Amino acid sequence: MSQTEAALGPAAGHDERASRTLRERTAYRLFVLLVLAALGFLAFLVSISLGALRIPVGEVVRSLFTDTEDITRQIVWNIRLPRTIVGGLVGMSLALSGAVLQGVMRNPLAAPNIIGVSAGAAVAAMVLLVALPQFSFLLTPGAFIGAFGSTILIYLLAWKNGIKPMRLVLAGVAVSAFLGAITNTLMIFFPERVQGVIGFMVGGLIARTWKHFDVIWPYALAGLTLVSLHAKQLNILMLGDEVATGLGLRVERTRMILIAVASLLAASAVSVVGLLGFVGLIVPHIVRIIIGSDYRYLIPASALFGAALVMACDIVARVAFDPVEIPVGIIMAALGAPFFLYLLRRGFRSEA
Amino acid sequence: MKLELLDLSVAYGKEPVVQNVSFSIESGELLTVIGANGSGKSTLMKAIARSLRPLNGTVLLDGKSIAKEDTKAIARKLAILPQVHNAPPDFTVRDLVSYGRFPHLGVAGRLSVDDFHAVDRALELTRMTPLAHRNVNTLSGGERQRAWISMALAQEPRVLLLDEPTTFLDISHQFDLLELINTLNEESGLTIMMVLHDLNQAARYSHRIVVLQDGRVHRIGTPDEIIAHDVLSEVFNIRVRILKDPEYGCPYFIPIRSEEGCIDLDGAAG
Repeated sequence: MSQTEAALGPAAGHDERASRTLRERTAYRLFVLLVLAALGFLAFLVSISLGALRIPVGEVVRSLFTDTEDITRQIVWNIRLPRTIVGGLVGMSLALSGAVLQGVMRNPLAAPNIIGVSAGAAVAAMVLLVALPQFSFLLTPGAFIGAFGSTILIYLLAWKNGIKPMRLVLAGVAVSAFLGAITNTLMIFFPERVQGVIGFMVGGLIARTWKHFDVIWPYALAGLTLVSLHAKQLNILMLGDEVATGLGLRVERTRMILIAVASLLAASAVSVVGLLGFVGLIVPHIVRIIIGSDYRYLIPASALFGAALVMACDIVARVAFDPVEIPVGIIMAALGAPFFLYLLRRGFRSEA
Repeated sequence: MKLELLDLSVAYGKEPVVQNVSFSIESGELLTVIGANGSGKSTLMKAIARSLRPLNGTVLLDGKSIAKEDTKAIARKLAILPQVHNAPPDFTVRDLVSYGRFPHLGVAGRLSVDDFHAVDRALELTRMTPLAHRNVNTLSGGERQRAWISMALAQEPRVLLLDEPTTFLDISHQFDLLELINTLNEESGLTIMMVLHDLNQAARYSHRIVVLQDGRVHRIGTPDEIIAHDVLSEVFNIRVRILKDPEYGCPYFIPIRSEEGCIDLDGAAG
């Protein structure tokens, strides 16, 4: 986590920020983006370098850009690179999804699991891996349909002359509880097969390859583009529905589009790596403390930091208890939660 | 710019809150809506502000129905300050006011020189220029309301709707804000419709007052016609002593205990 802590350096002057001029503030935000991009690149290189076989960074760069056929290049291109890129895209997608949902719901606890993404994917995984294991090859599309489907269900259940964010959150909690009941029932009926789904339930990048990359990249790219195009709208939604309406924003339509995009981003990520929920909750918060709540900066910063964090945690997951690999979801929660709490206390103090 | 309400009815669920309301606000007018709690004042404002879809009836802005026109086009003519609003903790006044330009922005969404001028003008009009770099949430209640009005003015509207703009402010800030609203109406020719709780303030600043009762228009008229014994006893169930300010010429009243009876000093009720 030393890379991520380095990102806090510039935040030391956070409490003076109100008095800075506009130009200085913009320069500061661009600087933070630059630092986050550098961190992401560093995590990317180190992730390819470290593992069962240690490849020096120089060797990594050489393997990436030249095409001499040797074992190093095989490992880099066939194992480490796809895994690292999938990890980065998953982190980016979940972080963006969380950032969007927190804005749309005006609720700091909003995260992909609030719109049923995790619960829906879990039910699908449970059915395909435990109840009907002959269909386990359908895990990725199945989890995707489960995740996106439960968002649609929650949205429809919460609809009553329009969507009120609070009603959507509550419908999400209720539907997730219901789907959780199905998941747990299946676990009780097939106890001997539960072992096989643990990896999915905590989220991991073990053996992720180009096949998984093919699944996630179209959603990651389209999601990033759509979310970026809605930065101003997200800012205006934060001012309240009535103000947003008064400013000529079609609140209901914008909210529906953004929830759909957030769900697609999270669903594609979850279908590839399993329930890696925590990223979507904490990354936008950490980034907001560092760079502020203006979505024009929050969006790229969340994308970069989400990608960097998952790649960095996956390094720890591979290296910490070598040769045993720990699912990245566990590392994420174990390191992320205390770090998040630390930031939260710091952030509150400087805002007061 | 004229704003007309034609047979407007609004409901929350099945419960009709505003029923068959028709009146119009003339161009350049400052009109205030008053009424007891639950009389439908805010609901009426929300329907005009497009936040609630009316059960039936229409709102015409400059002769065109706001239900049919493009919502961004309306936002360039009609600005709203609702009761409930919030700014993210790190938004400065200038950030907030800049969002008033949203309905004027093109697809690229970048502010042009004209937009920056409009923001500066809006800050100037509300005397917020010295506070432009401050975080909205560090301002006093009165300054915060001025910041939000400044955002509405950055829309460069012809009509401004204010829903209880003085609520939660102490008396000096209430006065300050009402003076600002009055200046915007008199000097910039802005057509203003607002909801107020304080009847004396309504009488002091409005050209005309609309009294709502149980979701219907009870009476509409000049302050002298509204600050009258019958209206105040029918709508607010109070007996009052009515006086007239010697300088501003507006009526005002103080409630009196019912056992003293109703004392009409000089027939100012008209």
